[in-house]
Amino acid sequence: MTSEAESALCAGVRDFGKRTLSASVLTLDAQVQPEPPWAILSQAEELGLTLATAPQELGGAELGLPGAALVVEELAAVCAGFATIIASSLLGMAPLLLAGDMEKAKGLLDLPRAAGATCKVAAVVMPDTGRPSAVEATGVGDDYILNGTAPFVCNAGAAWLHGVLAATNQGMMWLAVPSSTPGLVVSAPIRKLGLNIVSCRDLLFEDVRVGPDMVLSRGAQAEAALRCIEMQRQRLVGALALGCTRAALREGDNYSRQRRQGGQIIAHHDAIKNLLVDIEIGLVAARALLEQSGGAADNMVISVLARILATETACQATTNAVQIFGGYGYTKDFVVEKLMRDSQQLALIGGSNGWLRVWVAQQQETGSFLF
Amino acid sequence: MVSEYRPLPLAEAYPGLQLIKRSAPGYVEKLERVQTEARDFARRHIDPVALSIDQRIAEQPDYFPWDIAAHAAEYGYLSFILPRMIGGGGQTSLAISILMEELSAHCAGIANIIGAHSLGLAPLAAGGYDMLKYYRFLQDTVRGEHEGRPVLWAFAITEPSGGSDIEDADEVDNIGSITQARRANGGYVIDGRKVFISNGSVARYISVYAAMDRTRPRESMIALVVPNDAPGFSVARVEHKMGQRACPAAELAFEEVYVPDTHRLGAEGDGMVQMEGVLSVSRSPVGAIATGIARGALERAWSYAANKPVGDHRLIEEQWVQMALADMAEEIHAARQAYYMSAMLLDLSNPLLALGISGRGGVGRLIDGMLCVVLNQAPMKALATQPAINKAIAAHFSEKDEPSVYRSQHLRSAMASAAKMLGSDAAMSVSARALDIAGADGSRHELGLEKCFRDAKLTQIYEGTNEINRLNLYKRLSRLGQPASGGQGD
Repeated sequence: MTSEAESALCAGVRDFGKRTLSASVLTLDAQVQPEPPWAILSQAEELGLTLATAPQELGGAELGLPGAALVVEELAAVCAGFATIIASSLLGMAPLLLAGDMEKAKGLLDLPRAAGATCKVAAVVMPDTGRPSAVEATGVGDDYILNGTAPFVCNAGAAWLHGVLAATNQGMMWLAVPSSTPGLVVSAPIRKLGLNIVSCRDLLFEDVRVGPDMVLSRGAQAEAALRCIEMQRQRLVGALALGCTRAALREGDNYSRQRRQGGQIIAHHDAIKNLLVDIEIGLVAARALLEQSGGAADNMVISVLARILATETACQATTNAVQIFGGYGYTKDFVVEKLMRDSQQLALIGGSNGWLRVWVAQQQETGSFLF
Repeated sequence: MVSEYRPLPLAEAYPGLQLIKRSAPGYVEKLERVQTEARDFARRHIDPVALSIDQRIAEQPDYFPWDIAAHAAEYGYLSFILPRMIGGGGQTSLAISILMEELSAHCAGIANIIGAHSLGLAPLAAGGYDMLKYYRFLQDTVRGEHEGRPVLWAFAITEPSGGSDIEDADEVDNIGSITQARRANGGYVIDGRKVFISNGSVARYISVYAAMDRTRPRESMIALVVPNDAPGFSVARVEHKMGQRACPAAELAFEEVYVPDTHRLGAEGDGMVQMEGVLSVSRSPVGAIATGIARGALERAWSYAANKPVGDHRLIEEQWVQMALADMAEEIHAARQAYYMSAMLLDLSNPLLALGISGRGGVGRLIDGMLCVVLNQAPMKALATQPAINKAIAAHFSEKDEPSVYRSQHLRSAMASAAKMLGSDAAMSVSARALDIAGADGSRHELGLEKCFRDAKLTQIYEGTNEINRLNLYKRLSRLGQPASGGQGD
């Protein structure tokens, strides 16, 4: 996809965010029993967001990772929860697309239509970065039996298809597991800190039997796919965080120009200027690092570094934004309250930053740090 | 391997108390009892319900856990800071701070019900205990507690247009539409609105600050007790908050609310000084609430990591987790020392208590020790309204006769701001770190960690935002740093 097409899509996404998404942000967040926002998701699907990274022959927009990251960032600047649904879906589809079997992909993409569903929302089932897989596959004839409990799967319960990483006694493999597969049990939605509209559930595999046609990759190919999907996950989490940081700066800046204390708008107080410029420093630095990581085809380390910086920036930025709003920022009447919870929640996706620091150092042999 | 983290006993958490105990065993033993009982209260009455209350109020913001308030009454927490001679607990600033830490380690929202209630009562002390005037309020509060009928208080200063301004004497004159009180028929008529008032929707009595002259709020500020059944008073809304949900924050409307003279706390025009006094008393307990939130996060994260299998080991065996836990413990330690120091400074400025601490507290102990069991008895009322007793109690809460601590007002306020900032910043950083240790699992409601994080943020905002506290710390230090002649009082 050309960069003009990319920017056209981004413009479309911005427009969608402004016209369709922004009005529902606080209502969707406040739902007691969160339901996936199907109506808005259908519109996002029409815009091509759920198939953003799929090739054109599958009806996709064929975006590369940097393009997908831009889309996710634009969405997250409006609602990080909605953006997380899209990002998780793209990750869920990734093992299928990386397998390279277009016929198989077409068949699976037709499943939701056959079932009467409108949205192709997928979910990825993989452990936190660098941790062992919770799902084990045992070969029985040509079939595989899956067992285990995958905790905290984003889009579980909403997804029609799960891209599942399973451990076998002969290494890892990726499998496609449609939601209708017998033995696949989803828990109740997890009550959590933020990203309320994302349906996160524990996924129980109880003797889930899948045929050989559901195997997407195995052995070295599966490992290569894992590295690629890991990098996508880090990059997209970074993009989500960047969107939150932009929103924090936008909201904090707007409010600081309206609220008056000490005889002037609070934007004129150094105390508030410091909070705003701290957000800006983080935003510029995180964006630069994310862009650096986005271009490289196989640059896992920079992607992880960028994700750590971007999520920590988002957490600090959104906390600052709440502080600028004072007591009002602590209420559900203003979006900064949601921003702060969302940012902290997405900092935990796929492994926390404390652990990722350890893991990224493990990836670098002595001397290969990025001096 | 330790599978849970047990909080330290008092003498280990703040070893300085072991020294103080040598000269004032009573002071320290009372604190030890407060801590033990608070841990008992938390285990019996908070732990089983804290998460479900949090969840329920998320769905139904005007729900209030009255049964918790009733249990708090059983433990004497609703008269905790009132003098013993009217049936209160006679507890010190350090004692209420310790209570706040202990309860907040389990649920900061529930702790804040008691904290906000004590804050509402505080102006009665700050204005000098005039037993004759306040007897009805105090008697109702203490009797209600004895009868298991919680009589709650609230403290109302924040206004829609004056959040930070109203807590800053240098800025209060800039507020345009401040709540106003005017003289009428042997009393006052109040008009205006207050926002984010903790306990505002459930309090029987509200200590309200209003300006007699809107153009000069600083000089004309007055404090009045408004009962919740006063005509014209209404609860306009209850906020839907991120955390500390057990304690409701309400917007209160005052439309031509009349209260008689007897509801005035202190003198006309004393309001601003009173408010500053109350805030310097209330900020170290906020530091304690924050310390408690951080401790709760540490305890939960520790237990999680100790019990979480990762491959062939437990999460807590990973060095990065041990480093994080140590960092968290260090921040909590620093925050705790700061609020202990601040609260002890407050206790030291209380002359009778200071005599007690230094072992010369004959008179003080006599007054403090006169415990009234049956509050309604006429002799007690007669005793409580004797001018001499009033004077002694008023002295109990003032420092006029204590020249050796003449700079203490600034010092206390400075230390209170430092304790509040240290505590609240620790609460945010520790609770975020706790989530990081547990990863996505940590954000599950059932674990209680995400609640710590949500609860923590409020401590950087209420009792003066940390920005206001920084400015206050600067102002106080700049006065303390002046030559001695310039440092006397406000």
